[in-house]
Amino acid sequence: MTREEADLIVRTPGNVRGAVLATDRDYVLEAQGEEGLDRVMELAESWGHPIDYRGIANTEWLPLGLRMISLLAIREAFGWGKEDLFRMGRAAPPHSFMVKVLMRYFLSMEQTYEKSPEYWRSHYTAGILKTPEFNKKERFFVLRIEDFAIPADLCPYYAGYFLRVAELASTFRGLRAEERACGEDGGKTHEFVISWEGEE
Amino acid sequence: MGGGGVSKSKAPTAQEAQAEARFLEEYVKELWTFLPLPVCYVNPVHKILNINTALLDLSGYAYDEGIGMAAKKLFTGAGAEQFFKDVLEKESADRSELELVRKDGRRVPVHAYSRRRAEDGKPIGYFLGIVDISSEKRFRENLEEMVREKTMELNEKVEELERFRRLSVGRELKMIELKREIEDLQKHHGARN
Repeated sequence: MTREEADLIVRTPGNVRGAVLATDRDYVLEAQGEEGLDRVMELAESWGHPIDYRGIANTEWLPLGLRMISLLAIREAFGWGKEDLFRMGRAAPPHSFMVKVLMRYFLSMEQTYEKSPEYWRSHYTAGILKTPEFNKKERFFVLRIEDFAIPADLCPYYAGYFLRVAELASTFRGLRAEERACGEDGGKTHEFVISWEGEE
Repeated sequence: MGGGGVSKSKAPTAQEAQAEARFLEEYVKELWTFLPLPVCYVNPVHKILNINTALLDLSGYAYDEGIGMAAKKLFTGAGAEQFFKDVLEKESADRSELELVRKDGRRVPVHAYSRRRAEDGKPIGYFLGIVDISSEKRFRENLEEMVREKTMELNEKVEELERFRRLSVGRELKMIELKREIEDLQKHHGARN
């Protein structure tokens, strides 16, 4: 990625909680160690947007663009593809302090689904998370993020993330996440379908 | 100080609030890591949301495997089903005679305690504390074995004494009989003379 491209991405409007970047940091530390994190930091700095991963506070608000830079730098530093990003997203909720704080209010999958826009707002000031369909009979629900200008190739991260939250909040088995209509509306709309095979 | 006026405390700045939040977060994190008692926090659908190092060590699971795992899956034993009913119905519950099933399949006898958390009267999850009672159980079993052995030894002694008593009584009776025979003989002999 060139500096110009990075400059454009970093201008993405909105903020994100420090906890989100902290989970990026923790995942890289676990998967690639301190050296790996240094590589990511060097890359982000070479794009003109240094990230102080080690000084992040979970509750502070940081620019959403910086988070995009974080994901893109991690992907590029380790040559990761869709699967790796999906795995990274799926690993994020257990490491997130915010998830631990908020998940206590999610008493069932339906309630978690209904509350997810609120949950989104506690993490992001940009984008609107919508809950258009929870179909218990057909065993799926749809999450739709609107007005969220992120590169569509980062969507597997969010698919993995939503899947893990569903795993934590339900007793469903055979859960799967699928990206649908990602990058619609000029890259501002992203849709995810979470389905399951049955209940434990 | 001593001015008599009511001092208004200033609302914390965003930076101060963040520093406070960070301090609390670190405090909670360190406490969870330090706690030598295996502990986890579980949501109302019985999924583990937080797990400490002591429980990871006891169960043999890695952090990522432990988070999201059904707490019920960790236990077996006659009282497990009732215990998991109680954790949400009662403010606190405890149950012995449970077994924790480790990742490698090995079973560890445990005593489990729970403390329900509720908001607006609705349960929002529970803390689960686990005490490994293996050594206590082993000690009890050893003690029971010792008591069994000592009881057997005692029974043997009692039997021996009983045999001895029977023998002594038999001899005593024989003596009485002999005495009586002597007396009879003496009487018989006296009558003849």
